[in-house]
Amino acid sequence: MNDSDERMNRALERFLENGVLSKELEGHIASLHALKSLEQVPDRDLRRARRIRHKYLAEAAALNSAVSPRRNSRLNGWMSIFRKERSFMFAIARIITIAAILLGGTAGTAFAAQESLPDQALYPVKTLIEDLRLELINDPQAEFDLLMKFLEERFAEIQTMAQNGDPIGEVVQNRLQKQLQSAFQNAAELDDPELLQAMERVREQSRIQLNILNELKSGNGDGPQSNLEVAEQAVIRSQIQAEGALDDPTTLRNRYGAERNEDAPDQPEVNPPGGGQGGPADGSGDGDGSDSSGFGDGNFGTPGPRRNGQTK
Amino acid sequence: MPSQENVWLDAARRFDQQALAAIYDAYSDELYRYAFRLIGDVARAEDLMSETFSRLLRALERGGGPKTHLRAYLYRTTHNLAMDQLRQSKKELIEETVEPQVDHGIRNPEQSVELKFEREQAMSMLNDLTEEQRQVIILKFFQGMDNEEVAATTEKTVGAVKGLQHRALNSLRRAFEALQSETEQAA
Repeated sequence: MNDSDERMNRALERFLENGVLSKELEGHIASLHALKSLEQVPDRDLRRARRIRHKYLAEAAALNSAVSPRRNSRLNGWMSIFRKERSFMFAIARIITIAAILLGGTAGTAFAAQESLPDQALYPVKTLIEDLRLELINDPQAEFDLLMKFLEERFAEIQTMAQNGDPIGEVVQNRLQKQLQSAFQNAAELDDPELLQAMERVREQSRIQLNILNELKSGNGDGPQSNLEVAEQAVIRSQIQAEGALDDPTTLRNRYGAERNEDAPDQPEVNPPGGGQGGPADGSGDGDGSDSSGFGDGNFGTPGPRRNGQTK
Repeated sequence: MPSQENVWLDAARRFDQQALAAIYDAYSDELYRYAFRLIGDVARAEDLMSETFSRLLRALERGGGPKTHLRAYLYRTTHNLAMDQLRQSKKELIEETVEPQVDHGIRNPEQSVELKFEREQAMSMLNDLTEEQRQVIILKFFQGMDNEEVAATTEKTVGAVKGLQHRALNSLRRAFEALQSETEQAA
């Protein structure tokens, strides 16, 4: 930096802060004024702004849950059972006991079934216990959460079988697809913020699962790749559905026929293709941070304080 | 006493939803406006702003992200994303100006045409600057940053920012004079 830079800087500061024109700026005024038209920035679409904010917070929630401790190996499955939430333990124990009695076995058998694979004799016990647990839940959010855990389990099964070189049977694939669909059905019943959070979670999980599948396929050689393709297609479909729902939650509700809550904001009467630029349907603009204060963040060339009160 | 930004950052590293929401609410609008000024398109500006916050989350997840100067970090991310996009689309900068969706105070088509012409002229002048000069001018003139903030955002010294600013002003004057000359010849 030299003295002329410093002099020019002082002149510019005076101009920007107070509109004072120093001799250093003579010859620059016309060009500076020619930039003034760039002050103006179109307002943000409030609906879109709100949706982006929801997506961001949902992504934050998904990443937060993704960094929580996860099961790394099937060998420590017994430990993971005892790490489950205490509030569920009693219910699980009851379900397992009931399942064991129904199947003529023991509670120990039912616990052992938790680690079984689709090609093993105890696998039907495992799936029955899952179904019973889902039956006991009457809340779409809790059911969605549980289904996501079961989907992780399906993937762990697929991963183990693929690594063992075993074919991925129809049982596990059908169950994967069914539970994915059920997860979407439950998500469709949630309010927008929770639905978006759920979809962000599905998208993130799908991304992780596709990476796992790609790794398995690349290390599979002549293994059961066609079986993995089926699982891959199911995950890709769920990723696409989740992304569609993140863009517009109504697409998921329409697909699964979920009703909106009575206190939910009104929907626009018309949804033209590529539209949605007409402002919020409810007109509320409820704290999405997009006050669209318009142009001139820097009060360019205008006397008065330069800063617009934003946090430094 | 820690600044508000540092309080937010500490909480954001724990993925505290309130802190993350506060960060978004504080900076999303100005980052959108910055992105629009760089790229000239409403939808792409929203996407860039959204991606900026997504990058912040992913950086925090990995234990990275800014230790201080959060605002500067966000501006830098937006700027880098915008430049990547512009390079990808093989544009030096905006060659066609998108007509604003909402014209504040514009009441008739003539005014709208005039504004469009002025915007095109201004963008053309900015195109004559180097990437660094353009960044300094936009941050200082339109985003309301002082030299220290511009320096933190561009990762340069305050002295270097003043130098870039001076050279940018000279380039803008030359670009304006060239445009005037072209207009006179056309007339």
